[in-house]
Amino acid sequence: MSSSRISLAETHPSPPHHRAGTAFDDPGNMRRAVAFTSESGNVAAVRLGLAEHLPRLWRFGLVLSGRRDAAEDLVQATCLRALERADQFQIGTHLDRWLMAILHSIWLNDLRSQRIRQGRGFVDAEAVLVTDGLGTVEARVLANETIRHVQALPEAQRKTVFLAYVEEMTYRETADILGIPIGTVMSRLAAARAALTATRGEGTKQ
Amino acid sequence: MNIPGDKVSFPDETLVAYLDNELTLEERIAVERAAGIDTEIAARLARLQGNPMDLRDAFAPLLLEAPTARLKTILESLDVVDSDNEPVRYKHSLSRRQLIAASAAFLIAGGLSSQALISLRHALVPEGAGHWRDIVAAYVKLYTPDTLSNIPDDPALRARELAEVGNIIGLKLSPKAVALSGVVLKRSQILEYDTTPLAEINYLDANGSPMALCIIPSSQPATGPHMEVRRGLNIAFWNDGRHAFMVIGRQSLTSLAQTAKSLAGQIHTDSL
Repeated sequence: MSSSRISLAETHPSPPHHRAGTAFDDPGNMRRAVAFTSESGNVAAVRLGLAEHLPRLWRFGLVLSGRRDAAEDLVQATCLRALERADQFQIGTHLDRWLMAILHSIWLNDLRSQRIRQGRGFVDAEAVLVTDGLGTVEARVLANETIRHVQALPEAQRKTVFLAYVEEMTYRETADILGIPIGTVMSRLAAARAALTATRGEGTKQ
Repeated sequence: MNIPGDKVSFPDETLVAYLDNELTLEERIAVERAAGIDTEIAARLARLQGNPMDLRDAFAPLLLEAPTARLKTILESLDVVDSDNEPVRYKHSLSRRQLIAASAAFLIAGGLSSQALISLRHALVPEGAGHWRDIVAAYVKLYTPDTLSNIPDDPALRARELAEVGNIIGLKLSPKAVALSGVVLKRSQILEYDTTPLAEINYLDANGSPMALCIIPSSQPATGPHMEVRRGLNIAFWNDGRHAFMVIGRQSLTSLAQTAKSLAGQIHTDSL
């Protein structure tokens, strides 16, 4: 442990309009870079990164499952798997993305099918995801409406929108986390944008 | 690719990629040029952009609602032991310890002299590295839902098993003491870890997934509950200063932690 030195560097995420197609390799666009000088420090570094990213991982789990309890289970399973596989984490790459890819894979291969098998399915996004966080009543209403619209999207579009527009990942990063080609990211985002625009149009007519 | 001045068609994907700044400079220029001369493209661009919601801000409050403290506690208590891939040295030390499934031969039906009981109680387990939990994990990993599902419900037999098992390890065990909501008590039996008796109490949860509570006499200080994973199974374990306990299964760590907490409050820790 004492031989490992962990260096954490953070820059604020770039807004979407500043993103470039090759931003994944652009150090200026790095949200978090984790570098290890000792491989034996991988477990400690992954543990540290997990602690740092727990709220983001939970939120991703919530968006995937639509349930707070399932989100918590997902994060726990992610913690376990990440620690077990800490030696597979590639030094110099983004830990948050690696963790999100693990969480997504657990959701896809394990929890989602399990929940469907158990007939627990998904609940109305409105019932679970409504936030009473900070801000004015108007801001909360708007935020909840926005969240509701996103949660109403099919899962494939929903998680792509979340990663690209909420987590502000590049197309490449989004594709890597979800394990899909960039072309699929593009078609999902196009379909989602069209759907969200249509939903908002209906909302303003009412 | 296109003759300047000609109308060019772009799929929505390209226009969205333009809005997301995911196009190369060359592609951007092509889209902007087309939008400048083709009102249909300009209108589609405007429609796709919509009245852009700030999704990042909308979802930000959810970060504050994450059960971060609880998750941190669990993360800190995780002790990942991937026993299947342990170095040979570790495996060698395990091979000396054998868990003998002796439910038939060792006691339940018969009984043990009080002298034998006393000697068993003195054979307290060296459990520093949690070896006994590792052995249990290897054993419980072999369980399927079918392992326990055919055991008929027999409350009187369950109570008798528990009393006898408890007697051997020096604990007052009753159906009430080990009752858990949402799971069904299926069986109690005595196993042996080295020379120490090990109580195994089996449950099936609502999904038909096996869960086990295991207890051995212990001289270690009171601690826990802690959580860990061994051989792919989740474990919550604790010690009351007289006995070491573990609950193990494929249930989530949250669920096992709650189970551990309930059991720690229910099982009377006075030695017999």
